[in-house]
Amino acid sequence: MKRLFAAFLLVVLAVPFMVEADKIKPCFNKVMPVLPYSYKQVTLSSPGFRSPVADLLFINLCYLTGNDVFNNWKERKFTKEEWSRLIDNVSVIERLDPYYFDPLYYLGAYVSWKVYKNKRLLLKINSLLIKGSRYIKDWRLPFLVGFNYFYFLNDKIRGAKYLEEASGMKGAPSYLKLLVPRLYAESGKIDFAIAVTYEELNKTKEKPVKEELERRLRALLAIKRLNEALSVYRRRYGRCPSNLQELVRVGMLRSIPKEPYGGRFFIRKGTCTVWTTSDLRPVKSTPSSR
Amino acid sequence: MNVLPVARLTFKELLKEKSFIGLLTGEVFLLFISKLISNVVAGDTVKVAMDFSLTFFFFTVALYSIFSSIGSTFRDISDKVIYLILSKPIRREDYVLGKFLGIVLAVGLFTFLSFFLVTSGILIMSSLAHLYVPHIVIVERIVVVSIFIFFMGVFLSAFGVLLAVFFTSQILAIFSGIFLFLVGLELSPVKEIVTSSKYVSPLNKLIVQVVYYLFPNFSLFDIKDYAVHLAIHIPLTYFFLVFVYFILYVAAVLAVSTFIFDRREL
Repeated sequence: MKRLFAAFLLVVLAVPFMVEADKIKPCFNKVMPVLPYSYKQVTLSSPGFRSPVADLLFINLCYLTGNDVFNNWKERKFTKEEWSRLIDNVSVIERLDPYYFDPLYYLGAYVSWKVYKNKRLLLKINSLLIKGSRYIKDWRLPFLVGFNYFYFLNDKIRGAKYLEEASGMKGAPSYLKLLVPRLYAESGKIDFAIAVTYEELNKTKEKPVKEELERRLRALLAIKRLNEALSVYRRRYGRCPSNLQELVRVGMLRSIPKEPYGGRFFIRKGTCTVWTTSDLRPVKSTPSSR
Repeated sequence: MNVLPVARLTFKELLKEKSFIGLLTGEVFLLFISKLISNVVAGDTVKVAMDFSLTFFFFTVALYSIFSSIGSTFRDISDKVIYLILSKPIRREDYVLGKFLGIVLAVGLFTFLSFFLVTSGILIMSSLAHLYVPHIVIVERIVVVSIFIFFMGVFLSAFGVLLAVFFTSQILAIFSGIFLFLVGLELSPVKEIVTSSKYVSPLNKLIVQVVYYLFPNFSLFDIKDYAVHLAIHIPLTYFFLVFVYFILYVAAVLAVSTFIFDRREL
């Protein structure tokens, strides 16, 4: 009993030494660095633990990007180099567990918005998302790729291509079917937009989407007709008309077709092509146009 | 052949071992750890919980197989029980095979109970998770994974018996068993990395190739991802090939074990 009491006393005596030592212990930088992970090192150091290690690396990424949100109510500002490392780490995670969806979603839905000014990083994200969609059949992956292309990289044709892929996948929202032809149309690929709309019309069974696609088709066919008249005019007069009424005046059109969305067709001066003020979306002031 | 009495004796003895219930209790504790880890991840918490639970399941069965096979054989020798057994009309190879069979039964029971614990844990964690896109858990897939884990346990047990009859130090045998297991898990990635690297000399590449073909490949039994990701499909051919590999290799290891034990001085 005496011995036990002595042992307890010794532990109690040791405590102040520990506390003092802990106070003066060299402290590492409190801001956690973004360490680059190597696939080879991680694989070789964790036999049989590939998926749990992938989980832990993702937890680390979430902690790095979300930590300061909780502590200081502001996001941590990463340098370009750090963002690049974060993206590389997601690539390691995906090599460890190619079927892991969340890190890819984190890349596409969060990191893209942080690095959108850097084309190289955006393309890196897109290539990872494309690689991931080989294993994970989820419409959100091609959607995120398409979104990055058309929204950040201003490549509407590629954007439309991936959105088209996403729109055909299980669980994809119906608005994607409408977005794809609009992107093609906006980038001047009217024939492509019409073809896609036809295709979607044949596939779609939902009545509201079908109605919306029919309206989109009417608008696209009208644009196509107007563009054809416009090119005939240009061939004949060697210039772009100042407005669409001129086509009616010279007898190339009987009348300007009605814009199904409630907007107005006009000539884009730079390209001398027809577009609409509605941008192929219902104009709010004229809900009756539906 | 007097294999069955030895098998029965080994099985009963192993069930009474503290490691049996101890590792099962440890597994429950690890399930709680899995739940705690899954709580801190963003997104699919069930996926993370399953990853950890199944990995712990895999390693617990592996550890149990190594400890039980080596421990039980060494105990027979150190406690002089072996003399009692061999004084009966039981040949040395019967003893080795009986020992192995008893260990297989114990590993089978351990795997079954672990499967029950892990599956219950996963189903509970899945029902507690509130996910935007629910993670579907298919118990049949966990059954398939468990069967593979059992095969891996049997494979390791065969090696455990071999190491136990080969080494005279139990600690050395256990460390060799763990080392063998970890190397066997790493064979495929090491081969992939080494053969694709331009910095590795042709001789080293050759050595790695030889080791890859001769060493037991435990990573073949690691199909945990099949239970976690429903997008993964494993062809029936894979099951067949792994099963044949397993049977042939275990038979070879047992042949070597009986050969060594026949010549060993007790």
